[in-house]
Amino acid sequence: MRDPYEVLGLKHGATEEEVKKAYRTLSRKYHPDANINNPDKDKALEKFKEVQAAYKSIMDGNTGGSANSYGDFGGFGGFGASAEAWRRARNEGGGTSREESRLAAAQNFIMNGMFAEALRTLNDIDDRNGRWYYLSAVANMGSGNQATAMEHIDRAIAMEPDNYEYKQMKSKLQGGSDWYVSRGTGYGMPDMNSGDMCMNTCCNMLLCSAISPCC
Amino acid sequence: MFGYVTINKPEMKVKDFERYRMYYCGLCQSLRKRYGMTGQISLTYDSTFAAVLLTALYEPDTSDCVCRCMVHPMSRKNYLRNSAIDYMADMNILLSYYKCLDDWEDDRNLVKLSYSGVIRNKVKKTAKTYRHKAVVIRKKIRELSSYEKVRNTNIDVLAGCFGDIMREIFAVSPNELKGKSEADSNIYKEDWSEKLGEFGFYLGKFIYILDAYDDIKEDVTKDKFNPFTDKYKSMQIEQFKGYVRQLLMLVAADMAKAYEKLPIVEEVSILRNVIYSGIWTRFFDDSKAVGKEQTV
Repeated sequence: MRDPYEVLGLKHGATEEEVKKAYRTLSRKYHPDANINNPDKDKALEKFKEVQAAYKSIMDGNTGGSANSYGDFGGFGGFGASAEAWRRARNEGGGTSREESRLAAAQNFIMNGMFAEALRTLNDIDDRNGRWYYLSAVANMGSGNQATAMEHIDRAIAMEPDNYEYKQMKSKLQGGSDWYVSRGTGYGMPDMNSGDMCMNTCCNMLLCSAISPCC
Repeated sequence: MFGYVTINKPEMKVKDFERYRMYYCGLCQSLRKRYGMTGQISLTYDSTFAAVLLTALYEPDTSDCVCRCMVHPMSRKNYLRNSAIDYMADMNILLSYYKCLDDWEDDRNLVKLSYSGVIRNKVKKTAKTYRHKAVVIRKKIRELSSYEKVRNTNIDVLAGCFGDIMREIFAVSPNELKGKSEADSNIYKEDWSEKLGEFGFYLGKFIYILDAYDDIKEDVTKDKFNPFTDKYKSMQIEQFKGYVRQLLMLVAADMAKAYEKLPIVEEVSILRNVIYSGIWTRFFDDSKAVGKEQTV
């Protein structure tokens, strides 16, 4: 694919507003409805699709992936590493139990962004260990179930307090809202002036001093 | 809807506020014209925000109008008219109508029943125009109250149910707006209904959670159902607030992500004022704080 900024006729480092403006202008111009009588309408359609893809790729980058991109851990790479560790463990351990292979299947679904399938697979497992709660937290977050995700990642950590991966997932969850809070400062998000509230939430947070901009 | 989706007025520029007010008055006028004064009283800030969002995204032909209104009879007010505002007036009515019917079935509230009776015929027509949306809204309202009746405390299920209602309302294509007015020749033609729906889903979740939080003290006192009751009783008040705050933050972040994907270039400062700040007004309103009495 061509460089997305180039497709939109922009320089690298163009602001979000410039990207949106450029996209709007170009998508209006090349939209199939606007090119019904255009002899080159196939070319226009191609261009339209290219512009759409470019816009999507820039926007996904800006917002740290879409809301349902928890499977790939947008940029963190944490999950990729763990997947490998998991595979290694399976190979070394030889025969895997039924439950383990189900967990592996759930993890595969998550990595492919198929969160509903992951949840269904997880629900069939009776033995709910730390790993189960961890995977369930990821799949629930990807499905837009924030409350369950919070609960399950806490449970995973409670079951295996030394597991770095689980803690990383928790800070990843919170990282999603850090992005939101830092954008909100420009619009006078009331929370910013409330020191005590911040302290209180921070007490519940792991790694909080490292990741929270407000403390 | 509940009126939680408001602006943060002190942070808003005067000209943005005036513009926002013109949408509000526009929606009020549209409700009055199409549903009479009984329709007018159902107006909420939530649908005003939705009207701004849809207008900004699809840019339907919009005209400036002047009216005298009942609330301010002495002064003339400018307001806006377009197909997005009319659409939101329709959705506003569908939602409050079905909500009233549901409340009547639940607690035999006669005021609610009489209200829904008054606008019934007009609603029927609207429900025909948006058959699919009307069916989903009604079904989901029923589903939600059945969950509440069996005291299901899974907040994702409950809030998700209301989220689905809002998804249906927000997920509108330019063609659906265009059908409402011949004049919309310049409307932005790309269909963003899916992303709009996603945004609506998270906004709906946010509203439901905030509403449950807002009612918790009263619900616990009156022994009414509230999904947060167990957490409220088992936690220190500050811990409880921190929990709800963190949950709302996660939902709001997903909502803002969906918003930022939309190629919106108009009314951006109004929309972001609401999304990043205005929606928190009630949560951080100290005079109504949940833990107020306990801490004194």
